Amino acid sequence: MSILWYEWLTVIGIGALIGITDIISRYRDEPDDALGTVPSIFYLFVNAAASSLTLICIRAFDWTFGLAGQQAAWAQVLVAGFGAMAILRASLWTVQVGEQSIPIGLSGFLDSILGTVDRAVDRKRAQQRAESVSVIMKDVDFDKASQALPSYCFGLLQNLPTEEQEKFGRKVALLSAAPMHNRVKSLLLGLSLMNLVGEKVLETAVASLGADIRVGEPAPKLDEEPRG
Amino acid sequence: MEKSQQPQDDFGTFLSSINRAMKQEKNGSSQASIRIVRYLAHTHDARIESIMMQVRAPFNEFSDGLRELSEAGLIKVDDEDDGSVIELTDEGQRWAQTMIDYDDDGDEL
Repeated sequence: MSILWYEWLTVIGIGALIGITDIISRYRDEPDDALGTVPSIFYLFVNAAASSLTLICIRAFDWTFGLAGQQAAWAQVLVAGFGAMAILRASLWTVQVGEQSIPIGLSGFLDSILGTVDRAVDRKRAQQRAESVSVIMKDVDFDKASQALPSYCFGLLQNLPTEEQEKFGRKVALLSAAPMHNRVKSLLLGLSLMNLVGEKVLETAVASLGADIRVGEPAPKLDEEPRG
Repeated sequence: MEKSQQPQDDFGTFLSSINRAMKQEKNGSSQASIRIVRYLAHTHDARIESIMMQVRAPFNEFSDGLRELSEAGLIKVDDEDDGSVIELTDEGQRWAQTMIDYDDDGDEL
């Protein structure tokens, strides 16, 4: 049983690529953030290792799939690469604990790694988000921005569900009446808006509204009736 | 036949929601809401009676505060056989973290 270097490379590549696809499809907005975490790298390693182990087993048992020579060798590499994916993601049976169904098999192991990836990405993003919000919402006056900024952002998006708008209105009302410093209210407003509309839209909206929502400038008159 | 799909607008729902909520808003319940979030910032989740003991607000303000937080999507209430457990949502946790990161003058700690 011998495995050539390019066969190793291919089988490891297939395993890692499947892992990358998993993570990218999970974090579509910022996949590079997710891929850069240690648990993600471990997840890719597990996928690549499973593919390699499957190839070793296939060669050890000499499964040729009815082919010979180079064809058999490449068939073994491909079956190992993609077959490991099926083995890792399979659950053999399901155990019912109370109202919860727990799958028994390697899929549970993979899910627990993905759960760790989720938490790592959340922590990383939370830190980035806090820094971005602090910069974007610098000098933004909550009293001036509380209605103008969300309205402008929602106007830019155009298709935000009405339930989300309703919920956001309650958040802003809660913040308006809360006994907190204006700066903290602005940051919380920015954080909630960023969750809904994303960093770029928030940044653009704050830049567009400019002096109208900044500290020290005259407040915009939202309730004023148009003249004429 | 009436169309079941609700039409969406750019931000009209947001403005009416904020105006409606502002009319209902009572200062006491807002203070209770903020105290609840601050308390949960350290524990993430807690039984309703533990929060009541710590927040020390009149019952109607406390329950209004819980309702406001729940409607704003900042907490989840899990009703269990032996009582209710209040848990911060992901966004609630972010709010809580920001609140404890800044002092009363708005300066970062």
